[in-house]
Amino acid sequence: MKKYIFRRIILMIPLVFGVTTATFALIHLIPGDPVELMMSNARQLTTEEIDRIRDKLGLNDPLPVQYARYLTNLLQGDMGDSVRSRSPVSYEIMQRLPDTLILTVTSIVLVLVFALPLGIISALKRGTWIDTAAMTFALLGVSMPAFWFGIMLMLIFGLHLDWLPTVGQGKTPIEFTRSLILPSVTLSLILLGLVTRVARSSMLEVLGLDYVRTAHAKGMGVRRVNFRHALPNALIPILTIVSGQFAGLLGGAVVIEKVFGWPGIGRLAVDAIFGRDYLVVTNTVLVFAIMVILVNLVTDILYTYIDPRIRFQ
Amino acid sequence: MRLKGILISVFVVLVLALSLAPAAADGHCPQEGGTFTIGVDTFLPMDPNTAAHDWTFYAITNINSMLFRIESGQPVGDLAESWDISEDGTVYTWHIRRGMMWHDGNEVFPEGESREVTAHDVVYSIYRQYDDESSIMAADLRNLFVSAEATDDYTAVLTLSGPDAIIYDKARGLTFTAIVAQEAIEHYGDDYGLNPLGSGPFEFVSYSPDEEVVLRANEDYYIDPCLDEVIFRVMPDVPAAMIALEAGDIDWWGAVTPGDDVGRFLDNEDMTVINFGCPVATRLYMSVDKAPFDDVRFRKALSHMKDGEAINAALRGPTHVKGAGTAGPGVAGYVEGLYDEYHSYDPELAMSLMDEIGIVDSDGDGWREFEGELLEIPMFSWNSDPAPDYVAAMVDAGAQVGLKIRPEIADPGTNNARRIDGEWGIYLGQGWCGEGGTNALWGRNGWISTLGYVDEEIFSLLDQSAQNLNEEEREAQLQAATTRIAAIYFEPAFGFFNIFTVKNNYVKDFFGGEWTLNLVTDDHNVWINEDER
Repeated sequence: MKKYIFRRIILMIPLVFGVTTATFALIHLIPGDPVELMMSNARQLTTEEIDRIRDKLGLNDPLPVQYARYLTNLLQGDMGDSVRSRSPVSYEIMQRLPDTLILTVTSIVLVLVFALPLGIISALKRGTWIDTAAMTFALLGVSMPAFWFGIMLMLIFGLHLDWLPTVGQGKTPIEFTRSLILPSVTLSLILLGLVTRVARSSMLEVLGLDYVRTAHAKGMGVRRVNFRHALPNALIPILTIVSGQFAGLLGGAVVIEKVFGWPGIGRLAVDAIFGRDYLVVTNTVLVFAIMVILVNLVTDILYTYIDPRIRFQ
Repeated sequence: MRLKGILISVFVVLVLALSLAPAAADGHCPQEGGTFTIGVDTFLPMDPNTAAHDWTFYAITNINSMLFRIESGQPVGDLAESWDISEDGTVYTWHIRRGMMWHDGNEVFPEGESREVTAHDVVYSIYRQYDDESSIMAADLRNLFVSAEATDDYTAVLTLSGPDAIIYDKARGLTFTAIVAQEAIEHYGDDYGLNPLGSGPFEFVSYSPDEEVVLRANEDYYIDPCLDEVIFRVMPDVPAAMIALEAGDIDWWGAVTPGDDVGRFLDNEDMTVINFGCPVATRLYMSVDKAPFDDVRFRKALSHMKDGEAINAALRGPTHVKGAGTAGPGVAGYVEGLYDEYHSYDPELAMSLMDEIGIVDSDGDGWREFEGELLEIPMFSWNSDPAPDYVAAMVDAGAQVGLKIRPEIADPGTNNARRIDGEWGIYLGQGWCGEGGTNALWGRNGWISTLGYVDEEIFSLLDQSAQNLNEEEREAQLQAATTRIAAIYFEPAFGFFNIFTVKNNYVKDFFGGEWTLNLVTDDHNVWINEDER
């Protein structure tokens, strides 16, 4: 397994190089000037002032020169500076990455805690009111826009009931946990419906297989058949869905981050795209790419634990 | 008689004592302590050389001392207790307040090891901006700058090659020059903006990008701040911010409040709506050096074909202000009556002007042609509200007079790139409030010069006004420039909108921000009435 993991990590290098090159080229293809955008909201600059700042920041250099400079610096561990904030990009990313990870992991945990049992119970109680209620809930989850749901939660629990803070992050562990509730519940909604439905259908499929029928025929207890024999096999597609969505949530949490004023790397990337902050965009994509590769690797490893028949080639 | 005399003496002493009793601004606060949480939609690192951003300057102007602050539109002393200006307006002599100390208890100045702020720090701060070509030092000041020197520890002299009339203007002139310590700049280097150190009423505590900035009261400031702590909380989603404001999770929304919310908060007795004091214009620019925009009659037709006032009122709600020009009511250069004279709604006139220059519907399909071809004009705009609604209103107004307007809505970056490239069409424009704005927009190398807005007479009037220290004369020059802009360009105006910020009423002695955010000055010391919270 070590050899396999090592090989996968080595394969990351050309992949990451390709991603950064493509991102660097693509972001420069979009029309727009970072200095203009940076200043347009507040400062009133003449074209002469803008050109002076562009020159100083190296933005007037030819694109290959800018890219060579970026790569050289990157190999030395320097991601460059943000045009917008003029601070190191690595600082900008590292300040937000933990917050994004906390939000995403908490949401995934919420999804697993609620959606997984709900989907399984729904499958086991197929055709009953429990099944109908669970599927209605899942449908609501899939169809409700997260930003709207977030604002509603904020209105109810923040403004009217005054139970939870509407925005920001608490500083003490208790305050932090309280401030994490609304954004993580909102974010988990995106996956809740999907995972409930996948868990139900996956469980139903496994419950209909021959070996499950054989287990029942042999007189094995229902609970043992369902949870010892059927559930592990049903988990494979669920794991695939959750890991795939995990990567998506890392960058896709931007709306939630924006609504709840939660600092995150998704919001950083989107703001950087709109601000044409080239190095921030390229480096956040680089970080996303690395994380997606790592999550996929971890998922592959987890497969072997859930289903020992799966072995690395 | 003796008793009467004693009583009178006691009464006089009491009256004197009461009249001399320090107000909140003298450091005696009706209630001390508490945290003032300010909501803003975005925030940047706090280096005054690079932070070209209003809300970031709100923090900078509380961490760092400024030579002066802007209060009710006028400069008032800060680090400079007073200043003199030579008769020809080229030499400014700043008299520095004694006893102002750099914040201590940090990596640069350990607790109790700070030093006094001197004129040498002022000189260092000015040169730091001047020497850094990528700094946000205004071109007006940069072009006029000759030298800055400290004649003694408490006197700094700034010499210019000519008078700078907009030296006090918001977002231009010296309003950018926050005073920094050389030791701090050398210690933190490029990271100074992440660890700002100053001598203002509040000390920097922490900065979490996209989340918050925390400041605490500077106990060594020459006035004791009433507040313990100030937090700037970043809230990019404005509807969510409005909920947080009502819930009391933020005490003041320091960024632009949407018109609908302004209307709602005006009716809320727990809230106060504060006018930022610089009305912002919404207007159109166009490719004036290309046909048919190069014909003044066509520009005039575009101006008269739409009911700008009605459109602006509908889209801006209670923030709408009728008017035209770059400077709004209350700002130097504002010309009353400009809207009615140049931009009133008159579709009949618009149609006759287009007929006159041969932009007519010759094939009877309902759309006008120019030189035998269908005239389809792209209208460029950015994509955030309410900009696309202005475009829709123009498309509709065009259809009423047979002029086909094609919406071209993109993100701000793409929209700006089109303007820089001078792409043919109409552009929605917004902003540039204040006197400096008129100059930077319509002046030499102005923001829209790429579209062909080049007129030597306007340049000359604006250049003269920027160097004229006589307020009346300057006002006349600015008004002349504004009137000429309207007369020759007919830049179709919709009107202005006021920027309103909103505070909870338990925040006391607070008057909002004007580039500098004055929380603790000789006249104001903001405090929180916790009983009302």
